[in-house]
Amino acid sequence: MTKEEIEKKITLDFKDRVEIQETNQPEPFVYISKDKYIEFCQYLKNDTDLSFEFLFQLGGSHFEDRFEVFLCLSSHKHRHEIVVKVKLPADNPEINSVINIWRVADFFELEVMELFGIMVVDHPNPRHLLLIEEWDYGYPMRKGWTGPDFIPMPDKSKSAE
Amino acid sequence: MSDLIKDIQHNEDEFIINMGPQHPSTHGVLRLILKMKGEFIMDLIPDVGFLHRSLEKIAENRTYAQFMPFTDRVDYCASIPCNFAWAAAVEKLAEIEIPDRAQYLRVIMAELNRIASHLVWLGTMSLDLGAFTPFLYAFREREQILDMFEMTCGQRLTYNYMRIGGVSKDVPPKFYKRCKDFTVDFRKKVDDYEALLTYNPIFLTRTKNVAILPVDDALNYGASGPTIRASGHDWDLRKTHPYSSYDKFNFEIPTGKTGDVWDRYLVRIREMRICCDIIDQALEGLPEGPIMARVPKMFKPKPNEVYSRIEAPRGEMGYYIISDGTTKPYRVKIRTASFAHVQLMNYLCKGWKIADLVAIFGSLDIVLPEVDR
Repeated sequence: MTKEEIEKKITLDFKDRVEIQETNQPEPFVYISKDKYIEFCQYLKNDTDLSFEFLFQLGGSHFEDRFEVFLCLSSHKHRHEIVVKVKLPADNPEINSVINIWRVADFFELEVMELFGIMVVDHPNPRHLLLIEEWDYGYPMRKGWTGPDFIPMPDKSKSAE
Repeated sequence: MSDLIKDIQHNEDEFIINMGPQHPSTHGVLRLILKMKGEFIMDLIPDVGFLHRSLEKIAENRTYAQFMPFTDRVDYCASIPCNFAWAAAVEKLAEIEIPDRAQYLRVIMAELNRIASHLVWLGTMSLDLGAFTPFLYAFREREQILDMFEMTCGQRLTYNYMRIGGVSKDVPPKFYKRCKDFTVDFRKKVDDYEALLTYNPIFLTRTKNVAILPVDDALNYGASGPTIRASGHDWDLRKTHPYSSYDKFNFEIPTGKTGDVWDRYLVRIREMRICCDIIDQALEGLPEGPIMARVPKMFKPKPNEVYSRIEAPRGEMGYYIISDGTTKPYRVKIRTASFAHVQLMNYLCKGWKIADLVAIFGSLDIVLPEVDR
C-alpha cells in the first residue's frame, strides 16, 4: 500500500483517534491517542491489508511539554512501513506494553523505562538493562539532565569582572 | 545491568551459573545467567550494558557531521555500514542528492567491510567450536581488506569514511587492481574455509539441527539479516528496499532451509561470495565525477523526523532522527540488529546443552558494543 492508502485506511477505521502528521517522508507518521494504543497496535499487526509483523524499533523522546513514544513498523509481506507515535503527559508518563504483540519490544521498553522514565505499566520483567543496579541519578536521556559529577563551563562574562 | 542472580527462583534439582562477562566465547562483555538442570539449559537471562556509552545522548550535543566518528564505535567490526546508516539517515532528512561515484564507493566499501565482518565471525565461531585453523585463515584475508581501507582513508578499524553528502576520500589508483585481485583470490579462499568446515563431521554434529528458528518466531523476535534469511525468509533491504546504488547491481540473496546453526553458517559463507560479485560489478561500472555533494558548511536541516535503515552485516540497522532546525539533532535513536538478536538467546538456548550455547551464540554473530551503544 502507498502512504496515502495507509493513511486513508487508518483514518477510516480509527476516525478522530488518529492524527496524521504532515511530513515529506515516504512513510506515514501517525499519532494515536493513548487509550487506543494497544488496540491500534493489534490492528496494525493483524489486519490482512496492513500486517505490520516486524517491529523495527521502539523509542522515546522528551519534549518541553510532553513525552513521546515512537514505533517504527514494517511489513515484510506488503513491503510498506509506518511510524506510530503516542503523546504522553510530562508528569508521570505511563504506557502499556506491546510485548504480547511483538516479542522484540521487551528490551526496547526496558530501555525507554530506565533512560526516559516512561513507565511501561504491564511489562512482565522490569529491571535495569543498560545502567548499573545502583543507578539513582534520574533519567539520563531526559532533556536538561546532568550527571552527579557534572561541572559546568565557567561563565566567561563573570570571570572578566 | 542488574543483580539478577538473587532474584531467580529455582527447584532443588536445578542450579544457577553465571557465564561472563569476561568469558572468551561471549565475544565482548556479555553476561549470561543460566538456570541449569544437569547439563541442560532451562532458562537464560542475557545481562547487557557493560559497554554502554550513551551514544544517543552524545549525539544530542554534537553537530550532524561531528557525530560521524561516533557511529564508527557503534559496531567496531563493521564501521562502514554504521557510517553509511548515519549518512543515509541525515541525507534523507535534508534531501541531499549524492553523486554517483560516491554511491558506488560507498557500496564497494560497505561490501568489503561486510566480508571483513563475516571473517571475524567465521574465525571466532570456528574457534569457539574448537577449530583453530579457520581463525588464522580468516584473519589473514581480513588483513588484506584492512590494508585496502588503510590505503583509502588511512584507518584500519574506525574508518570515519563517509561524509554527509558523499565520502571523505577517493580511492587511490592502485586500489583498483588490488581490489580486483582480492575478489578473484578470495573466492578460492572461501572454498578453503568450506573444505575445512562445511561437511566436517564434527562441525556438522555441533551445528546441524541445533537451535532451529522458524520464520514466524524470527519475525516476532525482530530477527533480521542473515539470521532471518537462514530460516528461509527471502528478505534483504539491499533487494527489497534498494538504497544507494544497490538497484544497479545484479546479485542473489542466499537463504537457508531449516534455520539451524548450520544454515546460519552457510548463509554467511555464501554472502561473502555474493559480496565479491557486487564489488566486481561496482568496480567495473564505477563512474567518474565528484565524490561529494554540495552541502553547506553550516548544516541546518529543517525541523523534521526521519526513519531510515540499511542492511548491515548483522542485520537491519537504522537511525531515527528528530531535528529541530538547529545544527544539532534533537533526538537520535540507534537501532542495531544485535539488540534484537540478543533477545533470541533465551528462546533458542532452552533445552540445549551448555556446549551448544557457544555454537548458538556464535551463529547469531552478536557484537556487544552494538547492543549497549
